[in-house]
Amino acid sequence: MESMDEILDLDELQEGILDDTLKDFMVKDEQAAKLLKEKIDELNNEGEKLSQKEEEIKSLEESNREKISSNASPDELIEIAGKLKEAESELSKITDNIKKLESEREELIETKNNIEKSKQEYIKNLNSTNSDYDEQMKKISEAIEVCDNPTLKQVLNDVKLAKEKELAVLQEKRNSELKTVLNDVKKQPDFSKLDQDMLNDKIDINSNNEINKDTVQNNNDKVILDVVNNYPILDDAEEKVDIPANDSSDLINLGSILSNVEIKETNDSIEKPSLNNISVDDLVLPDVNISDYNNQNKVKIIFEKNVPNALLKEIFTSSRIMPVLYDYLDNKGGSLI
Amino acid sequence: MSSNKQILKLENNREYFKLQEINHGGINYFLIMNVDNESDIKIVKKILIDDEDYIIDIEDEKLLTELKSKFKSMVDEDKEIFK
Repeated sequence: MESMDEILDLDELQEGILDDTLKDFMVKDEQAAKLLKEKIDELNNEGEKLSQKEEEIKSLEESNREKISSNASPDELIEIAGKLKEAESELSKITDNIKKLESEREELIETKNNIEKSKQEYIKNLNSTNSDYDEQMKKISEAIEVCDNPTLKQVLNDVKLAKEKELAVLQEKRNSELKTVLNDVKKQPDFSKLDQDMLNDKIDINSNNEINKDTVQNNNDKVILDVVNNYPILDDAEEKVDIPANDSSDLINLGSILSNVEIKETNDSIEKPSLNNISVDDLVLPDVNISDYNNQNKVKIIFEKNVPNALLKEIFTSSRIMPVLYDYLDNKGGSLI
Repeated sequence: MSSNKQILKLENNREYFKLQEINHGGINYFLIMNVDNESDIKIVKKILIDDEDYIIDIEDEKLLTELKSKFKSMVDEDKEIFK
């Protein structure tokens, strides 16, 4: 099976993956860093509030002690105690908020570290010298598994799907290009390997086939080897080869002819000699034509019977018949029945 | 004695003596004489149509002249025989 390395331009593909994926990593890293900074700032603000409350409480406690030492009235003591209790309550809230902010800060730091870790792992995987596309996708999947941030994980999944589509497009394009290249390869016949027997099979010198001029094609004085009729067809009468009758081995200077031979790839372009069907109606019987006799004055012989010798002798010795007979035979003209 | 001497009965009810018969060019020719009219002498060609024998006139004068010459020689021979 053909490896991905042979199909894909990995450098180009890897470069694209690095750009898109790392950009996502950087964006998420910046987002995490911004959130972390905001949490830290908020935490710092809460810390300042906490300090202020602690100072306020400290001040209330000191005021409370002064009131007690100066024999203040119970109402004044109750009022101070109320303020102190309120300050402590606020202080408790601030403390809780600080704890929450610190927790969130820790989470943000951890997320940021995870992003950085995933990015570094991803870069490390992509820069691996023997990584192919499948491996890259595997690493992306691993990066997705490592990533805890749902948004970042969705981004990585989208990147993975986009790369899979890109792979399909690239592979289809490469296959199409490969197919085109393969189709463009023309296998030229090596005439030097043709043996004489093969040539004799192709060129039937002793056959009575006549060269069909209809199949002659003017193609830059090339000789067309008509594989249907098994004879070479020359398009120029001056280039016709004088073919001896009995010695096929020396019939043709193969080097000079085959250098100009063009073998047709398909039979579609070969014009075959036409064969006209013989119509029986077109046949004309030679010599005897009975219809001609029908137009002549013919007389049917009913029967024949032998002539008695005595009668024959009388005829051939008759002084009356024989002169007429000789007269007829000496005349040039004929007579009608 | 020649055995080809016969009387021909034609479909027109006329009868002819067949005095001589020769084969010329693959075709048979007769020298005939009317039984009832001795001056009615002619040379005809015999043809075969549907297994029936017919005689027709010869229109080719050259052929007719050639045939007359041959028939005359044959008549001369028979004349000598019947002397």
